[in-house]
Amino acid sequence: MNVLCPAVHVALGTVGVDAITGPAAAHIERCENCSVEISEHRRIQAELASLEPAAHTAPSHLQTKVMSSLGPIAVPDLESRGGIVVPVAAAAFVATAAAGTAVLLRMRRQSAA
Amino acid sequence: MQREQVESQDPQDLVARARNGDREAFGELVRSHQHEVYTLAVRLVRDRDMASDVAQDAFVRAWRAMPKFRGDAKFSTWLHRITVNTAWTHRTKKNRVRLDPLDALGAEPESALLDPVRAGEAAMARPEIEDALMELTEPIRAVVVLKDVYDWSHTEIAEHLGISVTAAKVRLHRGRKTLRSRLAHLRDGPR
Repeated sequence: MNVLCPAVHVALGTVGVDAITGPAAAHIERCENCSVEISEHRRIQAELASLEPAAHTAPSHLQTKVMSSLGPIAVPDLESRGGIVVPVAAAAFVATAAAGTAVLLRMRRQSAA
Repeated sequence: MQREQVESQDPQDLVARARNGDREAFGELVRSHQHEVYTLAVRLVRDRDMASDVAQDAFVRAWRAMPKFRGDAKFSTWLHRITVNTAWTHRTKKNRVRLDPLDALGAEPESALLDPVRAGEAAMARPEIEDALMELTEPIRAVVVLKDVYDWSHTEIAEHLGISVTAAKVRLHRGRKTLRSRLAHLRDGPR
């Protein structure tokens, strides 16, 4: 066990196998323990990467449940929705501002009277 | 393990039609992606019933968000991100595992959730590795699955799981170490 071995183990957990550089990288080439550690990490990574993306079969009712949960209304197109949403939001803002101004003017008149 | 044959339709065409509210096209997308979405959900939450709920909810969210899908990423990649977010929402609701305290990372897995019959189904695909993954605690398993199985970046993982990049790296390291010791017999051969 070299003094650099713990540094390699820490680096494995922080920067990852492929990002180890400098003295630690040079040490790995000479150190049998660290070489084994690295190759084991790579082996585990390779095993995990080889797992099937669809290894588990979805329940037979999944598609039916999804389709019945979608709701009757089709998804509106983004452009057309944006075309409606923006003017409606602008109109709401103007109406709110106008109402607020009216209330302020009324309060001012009342306090003046 | 028999699965229904998916009609050979152009996936891009299906996505385009689904974006315009075509339910039939979206149904085809569900049919062709259901097993991979469900598999990801199982790997994240482990509990099969919850995984089924997660997959269903993820597809419903995807349907609602279809207009926002611009095709910058692959549809399956986009669907995976939605599935991860949905799994995390369900997990939080159930409050099964505390996320942040590092002490919780070393906690024993929730062995009561492991159904031996259903676990056997996974075992047919890639027995030791799937089993070893399932034995990891949830916070660690999520990082290992997303990084090493689905090749997400640490930044993406941190963002989706609501943790720091450093925490993601620490969990990955712990997960790989645990897997290494649990899978040591594969390298050494049967004892």
